[in-house]
Amino acid sequence: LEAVLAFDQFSESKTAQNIAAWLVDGHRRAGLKADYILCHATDGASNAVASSVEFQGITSGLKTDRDIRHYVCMAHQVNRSAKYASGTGDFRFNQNPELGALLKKMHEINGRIYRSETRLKVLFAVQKEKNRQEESLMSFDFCSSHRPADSAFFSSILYHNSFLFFITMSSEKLSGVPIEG
Amino acid sequence: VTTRWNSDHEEVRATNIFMGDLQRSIAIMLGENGCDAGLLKGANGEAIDRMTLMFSSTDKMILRQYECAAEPVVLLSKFFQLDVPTSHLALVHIRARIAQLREPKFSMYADISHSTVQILSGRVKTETVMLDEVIEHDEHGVAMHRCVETFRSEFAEDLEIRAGLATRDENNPLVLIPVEELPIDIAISCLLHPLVGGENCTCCLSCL
Repeated sequence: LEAVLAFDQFSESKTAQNIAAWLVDGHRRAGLKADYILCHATDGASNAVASSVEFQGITSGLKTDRDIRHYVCMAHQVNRSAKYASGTGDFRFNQNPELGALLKKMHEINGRIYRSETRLKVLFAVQKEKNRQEESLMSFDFCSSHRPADSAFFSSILYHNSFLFFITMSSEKLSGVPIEG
Repeated sequence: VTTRWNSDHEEVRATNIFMGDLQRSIAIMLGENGCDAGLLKGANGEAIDRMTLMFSSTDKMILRQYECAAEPVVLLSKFFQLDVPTSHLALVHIRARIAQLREPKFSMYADISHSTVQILSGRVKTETVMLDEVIEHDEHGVAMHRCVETFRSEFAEDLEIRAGLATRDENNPLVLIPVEELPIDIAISCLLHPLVGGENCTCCLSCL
């Protein structure tokens, strides 16, 4: 069983304390007792990890015989590792500056083309000249549809055999951004 | 495709597929009467290197290699975004992909982006990219670019640490030490799983 418990605009600063308070409030609104929670999964961000500790602290008086475990989402970990290795992340030390610079250059070149109707017309004319199929022309649309929000915070809680999901995003990211994952 | 890195990789894939068309289009745009002719001059009238605005042959080779080198990472990322990744499967997948990334060679799509064939259906992996020490024994291979080599090794190391399968040596951070015991998150559900654990246990996490 999967259920979305809460989906709220998060207008306050995303400190561990604020996130934990929001989680507690989400549980209260859904009528869930902290006693039944087995584990808590978040992304690897320090505020998300700390919010789980805070959450435990707030709810410790309510719990009886079990600690709430914390897991970091592996999809996020893979994403961070890939960005680290490709030199595209915001890490203190760039592990792969050559590849990172090339990917940035590629993104700039593609962006210059797909954001301009004039330049797209040139590209489509070249593709028409080469008799590309219609589907080949369409598939260059990748740039406009695959820009997911990177500041989404995902939290799932294993509640016996059920997964309950919380999602929050920065308020400025809410309009027009597809929510995925 | 739900993470930013995945969409970046998809952009690399599309760029490789359309590289021939892109390069031809950019050349037209940067031509004398092209819409981007002005980009070849800086704010003070100085000449801008044309190759900063288009892909060099080295750029093209790196992008082709990177697309194929990163395929195990894409598979791993997609696995973790499925509905039901369990710990024992996660462990198998992580180790399998890391082993793939540590292979000294991988296959790569031939570049047919400049041809007039229908490019989406025409790509076949016919080239083999190899590390320098392997290529000495195989004249038909393509030398792996150092930044692609770095990507593969750094990803494998970083993921091993993040997954709790290895730690860095305190005296020599370049050396990874495999952990003696699996992290408890992975170990418990692996051991309890009837397929990989023992003692005929059919417990699930809810009975802990």
